[in-house]
Amino acid sequence: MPDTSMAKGQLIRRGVVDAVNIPGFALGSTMTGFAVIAKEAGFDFWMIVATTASVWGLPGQVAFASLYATGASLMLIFVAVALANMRMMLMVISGADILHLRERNLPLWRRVLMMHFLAITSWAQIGFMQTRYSPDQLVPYYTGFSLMIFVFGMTGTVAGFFFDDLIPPEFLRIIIFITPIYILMLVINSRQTINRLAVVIGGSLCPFFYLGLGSWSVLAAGLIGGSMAMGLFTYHQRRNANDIL
Amino acid sequence: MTSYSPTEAWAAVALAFLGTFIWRFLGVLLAERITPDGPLMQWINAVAYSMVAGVMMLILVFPGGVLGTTQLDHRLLGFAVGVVLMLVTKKLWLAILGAIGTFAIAVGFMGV
Repeated sequence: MPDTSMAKGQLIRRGVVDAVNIPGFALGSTMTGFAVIAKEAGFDFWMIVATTASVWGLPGQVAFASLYATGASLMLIFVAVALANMRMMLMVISGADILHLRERNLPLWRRVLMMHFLAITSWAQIGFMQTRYSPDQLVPYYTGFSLMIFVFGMTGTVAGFFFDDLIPPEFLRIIIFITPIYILMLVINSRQTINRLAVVIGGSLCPFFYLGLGSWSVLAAGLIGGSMAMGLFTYHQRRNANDIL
Repeated sequence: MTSYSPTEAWAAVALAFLGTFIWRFLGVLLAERITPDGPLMQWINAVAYSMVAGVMMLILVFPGGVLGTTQLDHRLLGFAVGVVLMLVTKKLWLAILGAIGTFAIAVGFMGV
């Protein structure tokens, strides 16, 4: 049951505290991994910092650094990053829905700014926390959580640039494993059956699709996984409804 | 190493930002126009979950960078332990600990 007695400041702090935990350190290390790749690709310090701060979506950042290393055209970089981060649109729609943003009448710039800090970790976190907090409580919680995750991400990026020689790769590769595991555990435990089904179908299909479709595999697996989950769920509901009648 | 001038390099950063920003901006605009609890919103949520699971599975199966220096069966073993613990115990911290612990042991003891 959502606890309705908490004040706004308390909820922001709760978000911050939850971020200063597995997700923060895991995401910080992932960004350290990005900084190492980007430095190797030829980025200078400010380019690395600007990329993490302005893109704030790892798959797109990695696509950017990998293409930059090969000397690809600017047009190709734009298209590849746009493709890798396309799911942001769906995550923002879903995130705005979880937070009930439309009822809050915020100016457009505030909504855009809030959603800038939405990346996979924060989105999966508020989805997971839906069972504990009401949408009204989730907004301050999200603010605290997403900003703190951003601080960790920036710190990890800076650390990766300066200490890339000091961090033992044996250690870093285990830490980097945490983010995908953390997010997969959150989404597989999603509150709605249809979303859990979508996770299983999309997650299983994507690696196979990747062999034939490359970067398009995420889009294809997402559309097929989501649609199949919806179809199966609706079919099951209809059958149950018919049984009752 | 790079074949970009400083101007081109910064143009690349700006384009990478733009390539992400357009989706977030479109998302904010569209979120207003979609009925909550309607079938379209349900579908968007399902596709978002499916895509995120897909991206994360790609990182697990075909990782780049240092994670790419580990073996696929070690990563999948860690993942499997995590899923089982999550489904059985419903405890997030236990599932993460189990997954990472298994992976660390596999990587540490069974070599690269």
